[in-house]
Amino acid sequence: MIALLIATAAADPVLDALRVAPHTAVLENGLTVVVAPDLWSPVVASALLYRAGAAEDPPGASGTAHLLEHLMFEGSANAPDGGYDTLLAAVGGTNNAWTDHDWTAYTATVPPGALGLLLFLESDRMAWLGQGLQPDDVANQQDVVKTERLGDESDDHAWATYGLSASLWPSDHPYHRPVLGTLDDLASANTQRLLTWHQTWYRPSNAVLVLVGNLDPEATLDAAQRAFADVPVGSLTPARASAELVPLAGEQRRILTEDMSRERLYLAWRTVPHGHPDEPALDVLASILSGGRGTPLDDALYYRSDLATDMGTWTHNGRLGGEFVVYTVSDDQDLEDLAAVIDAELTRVRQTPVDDEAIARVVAGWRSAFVREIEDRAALAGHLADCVVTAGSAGCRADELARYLAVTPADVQRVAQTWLGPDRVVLSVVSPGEEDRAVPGSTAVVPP
Amino acid sequence: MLASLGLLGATPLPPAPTRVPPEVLDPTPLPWPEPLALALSSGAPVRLLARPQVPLVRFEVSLPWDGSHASLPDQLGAAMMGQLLKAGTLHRSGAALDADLDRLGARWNVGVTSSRLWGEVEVPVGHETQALDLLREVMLEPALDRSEARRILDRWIAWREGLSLDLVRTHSRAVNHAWFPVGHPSRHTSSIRDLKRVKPREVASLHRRIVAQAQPRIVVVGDVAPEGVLPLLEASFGGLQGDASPRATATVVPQAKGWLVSRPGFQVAQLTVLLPGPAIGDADAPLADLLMAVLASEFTSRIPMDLRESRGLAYSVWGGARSWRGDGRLTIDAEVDVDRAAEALVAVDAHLDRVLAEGPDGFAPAEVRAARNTLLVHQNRKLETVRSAADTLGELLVLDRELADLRAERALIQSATAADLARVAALWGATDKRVWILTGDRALIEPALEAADRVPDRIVSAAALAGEP
Repeated sequence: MIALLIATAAADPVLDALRVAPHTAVLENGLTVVVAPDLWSPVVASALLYRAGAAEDPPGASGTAHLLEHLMFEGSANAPDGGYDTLLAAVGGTNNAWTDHDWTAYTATVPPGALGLLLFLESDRMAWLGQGLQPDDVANQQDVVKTERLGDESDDHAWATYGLSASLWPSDHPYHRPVLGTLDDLASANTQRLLTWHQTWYRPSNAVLVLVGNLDPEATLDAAQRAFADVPVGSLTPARASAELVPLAGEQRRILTEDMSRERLYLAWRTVPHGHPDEPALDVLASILSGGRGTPLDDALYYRSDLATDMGTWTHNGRLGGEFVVYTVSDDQDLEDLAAVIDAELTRVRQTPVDDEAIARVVAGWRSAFVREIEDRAALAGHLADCVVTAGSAGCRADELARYLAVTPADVQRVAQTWLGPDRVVLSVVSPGEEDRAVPGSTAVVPP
Repeated sequence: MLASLGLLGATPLPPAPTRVPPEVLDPTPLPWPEPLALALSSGAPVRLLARPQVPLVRFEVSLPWDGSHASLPDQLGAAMMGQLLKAGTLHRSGAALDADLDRLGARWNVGVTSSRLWGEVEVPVGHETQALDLLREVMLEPALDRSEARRILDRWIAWREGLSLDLVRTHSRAVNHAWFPVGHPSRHTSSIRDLKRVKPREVASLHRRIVAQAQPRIVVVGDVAPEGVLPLLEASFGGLQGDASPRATATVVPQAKGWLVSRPGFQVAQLTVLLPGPAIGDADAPLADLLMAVLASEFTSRIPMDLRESRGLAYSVWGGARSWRGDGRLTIDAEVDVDRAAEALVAVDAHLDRVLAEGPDGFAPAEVRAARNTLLVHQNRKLETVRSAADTLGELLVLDRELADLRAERALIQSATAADLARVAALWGATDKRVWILTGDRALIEPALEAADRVPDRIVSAAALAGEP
C-alpha cells in the first residue's frame, strides 16, 4: 500500500510542482527565514508568524495578543507614528495581520524593489516596538477593538461562534476565551502589559518569516540577515499554553438568546489537534456531509425537504485541539427536529462506509485548491509558515496533499465513529420569544 | 516616545540603534503578456492568454443582453434564472451536474446581471473538453425546472420577508433607495407581491430570447494552445449569432439628502456617504480611483486613518468608486460605534469639505505618491493569477475595450498630479450632491445628529423601508 502510494504520488505533476523545496535558513539570533522563489510573481509576498496567540494571554487579560497585533502598526523606534503602514503604502505595498488562539501572523505584499523596506520594518517592530509608541496609541486601539467586538455581537453567526466556543471548551481552556477578549479585560489593558507580552513572545527564535516572489534565494537570505542582525536574541521564550481536557461527558445542550433574523442550530464535537493523522479524514468527512446538491445534509435539510434555509459544516484544528461543527439555519422549524435529521445522516456515515465516488469528488477539489495556491502568493506564504511550525519544514505541502489523496472510505467511517460520538455540544440560537423552538433542556450560555 | 516617558514595561530595553529606512524607487508598470485576439466563425470575439506556468485553464463566457431596459417581470425573471441555471440541465439533474463538475476539480459559477448572462469554469489542464461541455449545457441548455423555481421563489420570499431584521441588508437597501430614484433600473424595486408574480415558464421564455439575441464574448486563460481550444469553443458556442448590446442607463443626478433608518437592537451603526462618480469608460475614472485612494479606499487613506486610528470609533472603514454604463458613484462606508455615529458622519463630511476647499495645495506630495503607487501595484497584479487574468480580460471584452486601454490608465495614474485630484474632487464632490445614510438605533443616533446640526431629511423604520418599492 505504501509503495503504491509513493508510486502514484511520484507520477502526479501537481505533487511534483508542490515538491519544489523552498530555501530555509536559521539566522544567528534564531529567526527562521524561508525563501520560495517564483519567477512569475509581480510582487513579493511575506508572512511573519509568531508562535504565540490568544492562548498565551495572561490570566485575566484576555485579548492581549490581539490588541498587541493592532499596536504593532502604531509605530516602532525607527518607524514611528504609524510608520509601518505609511512607509509601505508609499511604495504601493499592502499588509494585514490576524490573531487566533495559536498564532499571530503579519502578512504583506510589496513591489519587488521594496523587499529591503519590508525587512527593515518587520525587524524594527519585532525588536523595538515600545520605543515608537505614543501615549494614546493603546487607548485608541482599545476603542477600535471594542467596535470590532460590537460588530461581532451584531452578526448572527459571529456571535453564535462566541457561544459555541464557550460551550465546547471548559472555562479554564484557552479556546473558551474569545480572541478579541472580554470587554472588561479589553478595558483594563495597558501599555506595560502589552509591551511585556511583546518582549516575552516576539523573539526572533519564536518567529518564522516566509518570502515568496521573484527572488534570488541567497541574496534574499543575506538581506534578511542584515535587516534582523541587530534584533536581540532576548531571553528564552516560556513554554506555551497547555490544557488538560476533561471529556464533555454526554450531550451538553445550550441556548443563546439574541435578536436574530433566523434561528440557528450548531452541533459541535471536540476532535484532533492540527497535524494529527485523522485531520485529513475529518476534513473530507465535513466536505462529504455538506457541499451542495447530492451531499447528505444539504439534500436532507433543503433539497428534499425545505426544512432549512442554510446548512454547512466546518472543521478547525488548533494546537490544543480541534472542532467539528455542523450548523443549520431555519425560518420556522423546531431545532430539535433539525437535530434529528442531522443525526440520522451522521448515523448513516458511522454505520456505512461512504462510496469511493464521494471521496473522489472532494479530493479533486482539494487537488485543484493546491494547484491554485501556486500562484496565490500571499496564501502560499502563510501555508509555508504553517508547514514550518507544524511539520518542521517548509516543504510539507506535497506531503499534506498526499495525505488527503490517500483518505479511504474506511478512514472516513472510522473518524466519524471515533470523533462524532455522543459527547458533544448542541447549541440553539434563538430570538427572544422563540425559546420554545430551542432543543429542550438547554441551559443558557453567556459568551465571555 | 514611551521609553523616554517612563511608560515602558517592567524590563527596560536597551536603546534602539538608529536605523534609516532604505530608499525605495517607485514601482513601474510591469510588462503584460498580450492575449491572442481570435474569433469564432460567427465573429464572436475570443481572447486567449497562454499561461504555461500553472496547470490550470479557465473559461469565461458572456452573453450580452440589455437587462437594464427590460421590464420588471423580465428583470425578476433574470434574477431567478441566475439561480436556476445552477440547478440542472436538460441532460443531467442538479445533483449530477454538481457531481460531474466536482469530479473535474472544477471551480465554476453562472449567473445573470443587468448586462449579461455569464458562466465560468476553471479546471486542472486535461479536463477542458468536459468542462467546456458542461459550461455549454449550463448556459445554453438549462432545465429551468418549475418545481425548483417554486422552491427558489419560496426561499426568496422568506429571505425578503426577513430583510428588516438584518442590519446590513437593511442598510444596503436604504443606500440603494436613497440614491436611485423610483423607476431607475438599478433600484431594488421588487416587492413580495412582485416576487409572487414571477412565472417559471416566463423564465424559460426569457432565456430563449437572451440566447437568441446574443453573440458570446469568450476568454480563455491557462496552459492551452489555440489550435486545441478553438474547435471546442466553436462546437460549444459557435452557433450563437445575435447582436444584443446593453445600453447605458440614465445618469442619476442626486440632490443632497440625509436618511436615518431606524433599526434598534445593535451596538453598531452603518454609515454610508455617496457622491456621483464617473461612468464606465469616462476618461476620469482612474483619477476618481486615485482620489478615493487618498480619501478612503486604502487602510492608510485619510478617512480610515481618522475614524479608526485617530478616533477609534470604527473597525471597518472603506470606500471606492463604482461605475456602470452611464452612471457612477463614489462611496464611503463605515461600521461605527452607534454612540458615535453622528461624530463619524461629521468627520467624513469634514474630509470631503476639506478636499473641496483646499484645492491642489491640500494634497501632500507623499499621499499623492502613495495613492499612485498603490493603484499601480493593483494594476500590475491584474494578470497575476489565472482567475484575475481571465476576469480582467473578460471585463475588457464585454466593454469593447482592450489591454491597451488599461495600459493607458496606468500611464494616467503614473503621471497624475495634485491638480488632477483637485479637479476631479471639484467635479464629483459638490456638497449639493452629497447623500448620507445612517442605519442603526434611532434613539441613540438622532439626538447626537441634532446636536451636530445634521437633521435627517427622512427618518424611516427598517420595516417600513422593506415594504417600499
